[in-house]
Amino acid sequence: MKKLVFLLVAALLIAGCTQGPSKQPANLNYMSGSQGLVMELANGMPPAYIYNGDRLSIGLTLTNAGTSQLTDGYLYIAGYDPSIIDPNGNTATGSLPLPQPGTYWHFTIPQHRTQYDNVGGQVFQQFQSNYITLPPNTPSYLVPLTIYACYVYETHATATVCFDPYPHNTEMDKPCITQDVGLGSQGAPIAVTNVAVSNNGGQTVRMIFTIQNVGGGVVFNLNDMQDCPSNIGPDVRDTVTLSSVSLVGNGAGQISCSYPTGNSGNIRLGPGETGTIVCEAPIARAAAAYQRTVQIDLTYGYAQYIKQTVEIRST
Amino acid sequence: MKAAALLPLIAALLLISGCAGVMGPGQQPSYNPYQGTVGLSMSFVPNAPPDQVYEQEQAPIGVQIENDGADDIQGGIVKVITENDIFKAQKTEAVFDLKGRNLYSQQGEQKVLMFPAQAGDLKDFTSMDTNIIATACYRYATHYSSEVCIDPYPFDQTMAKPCTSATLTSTGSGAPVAVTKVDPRMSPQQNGFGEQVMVPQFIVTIQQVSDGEVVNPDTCTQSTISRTDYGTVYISGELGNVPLQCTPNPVILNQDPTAVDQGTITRCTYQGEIKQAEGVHNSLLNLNLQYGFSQRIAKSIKILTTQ
Repeated sequence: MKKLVFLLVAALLIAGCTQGPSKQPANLNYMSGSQGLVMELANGMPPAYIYNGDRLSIGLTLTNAGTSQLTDGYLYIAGYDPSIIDPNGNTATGSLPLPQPGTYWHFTIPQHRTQYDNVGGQVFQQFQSNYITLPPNTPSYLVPLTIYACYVYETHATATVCFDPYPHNTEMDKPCITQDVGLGSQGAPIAVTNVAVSNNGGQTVRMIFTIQNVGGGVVFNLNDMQDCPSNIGPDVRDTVTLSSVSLVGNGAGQISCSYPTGNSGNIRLGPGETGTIVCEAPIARAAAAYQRTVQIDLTYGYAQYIKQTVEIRST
Repeated sequence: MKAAALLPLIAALLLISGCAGVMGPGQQPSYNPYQGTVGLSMSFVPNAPPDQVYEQEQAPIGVQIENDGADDIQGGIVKVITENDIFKAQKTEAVFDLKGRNLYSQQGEQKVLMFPAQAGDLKDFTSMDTNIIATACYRYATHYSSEVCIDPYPFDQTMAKPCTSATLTSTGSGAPVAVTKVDPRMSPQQNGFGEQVMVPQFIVTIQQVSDGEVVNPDTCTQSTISRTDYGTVYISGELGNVPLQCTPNPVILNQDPTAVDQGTITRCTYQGEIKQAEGVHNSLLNLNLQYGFSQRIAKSIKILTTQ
């Protein structure tokens, strides 16, 4: 009997600990935030100082804190001299050798924030070097460890826009009025912050989407991933690719966008890391104004870094 | 039962006391001996010899030496020079070894060398002044070490770099000869595979920063020093653990006491290549200077007649 009670209590405890996606309250505002990838160093990995002859250990937590899949990420560890800190050699169980300067560790974090997941997918990876060899007569060596992540990310934004076939008719009580739509951010480092809406004589609706880098990193053309992080020149940086723009829902019509000459498919961000794209959609013949949801999808390369200085002390 | 109840408390106390022993970054000072501009410090021992000595009196000469620099001295020589007719040292030379400062000792070794001496006969004079000179000559080395930023993309400012390349300056490395300035340069070249690579070069300025004379390190044991032996410094170095080649080597320091010493320059080139993809990183520049150093002290004493 006692055994049965014990088993029952244990089962209840285990069941209580399990928290599947369906048990969490849905967060309907999850499509906001300015972060894609979040990089954090584990506490004490690396420590503030280590000694000559030790190994350098780096513990890194990568979190996909955005709302898109991260399926193509490259991690670089820079700032150290490989002739002093040999990245190769035997490493402890579960850890990887340090990526050689100029080479990367590839990662993916498909799981992202959803209405049932407020955190997003996480990856923990430990890197460990071989034994450190300080040159003779060296009291200490400061290593400005800099960890860069370069990855492909997406921004998905939707806005509800009013299509009014009779813009000059101000007498009737309209279901919607033509006005700008503020969007904030969408759970990604590149945000569609605003849609400026104007009506072109009841024929078309013109939408100017404002796109801004809100993540604190560097955005670059996703076709130039090989230049990240060391060679993101002015020709490739501040470039966002418009993957698609469409009207969704019943009776959705066509929408077309215009690009500056020679820049088809890409949006360049200028001062304030802000850029715009102008799109236009025809207004259907209808009895009254109506609303349509516009979806805009952006794809881009994104680079960010974290830094910690480690002192190597002579023994 | 009571003992069992106390066990968690004891364990917690042990854990807390154990944690207290862990040193944080600021708690353990890392001593750098490679500072300062002095190698050997020399002085006469007080009253050895005294300021006044009577004729025919025994008055030993005591020379106190301390290695205030960051290199060990082996086979150093101290010589005393007197006017033998007035004040004669029975022993004029002593060989010494002295350990310098290091990571574990903030003070170098010191010694007192005694040279028995006796005042001469003044004959018809009632007193006479004479100079006693002590010289030291020893091999010494300067160990210069500094972090240096290696930037294969010196013109690229797009992404935050781990470090920034800059000219390095120093006042001294615990030795009488110092590397006072290092100007890093990146020399773009093509390697054997046609790849664009960078070869770091360092324009190194070397200066004498303490009173004395730099001599060829082999000349301390010789009876005479030729003019061409003065100012000779041999240099070697590494970037990280990769050697550098310096030209010219040896470096001949400026020996004109009337000219303002701007330092003497040599160019040290990395014996390898750094590919652009390797990115910006901090490395260690270690330069070793080998030379001989000669310095002297003097004291005037008065020999008095006993009559």
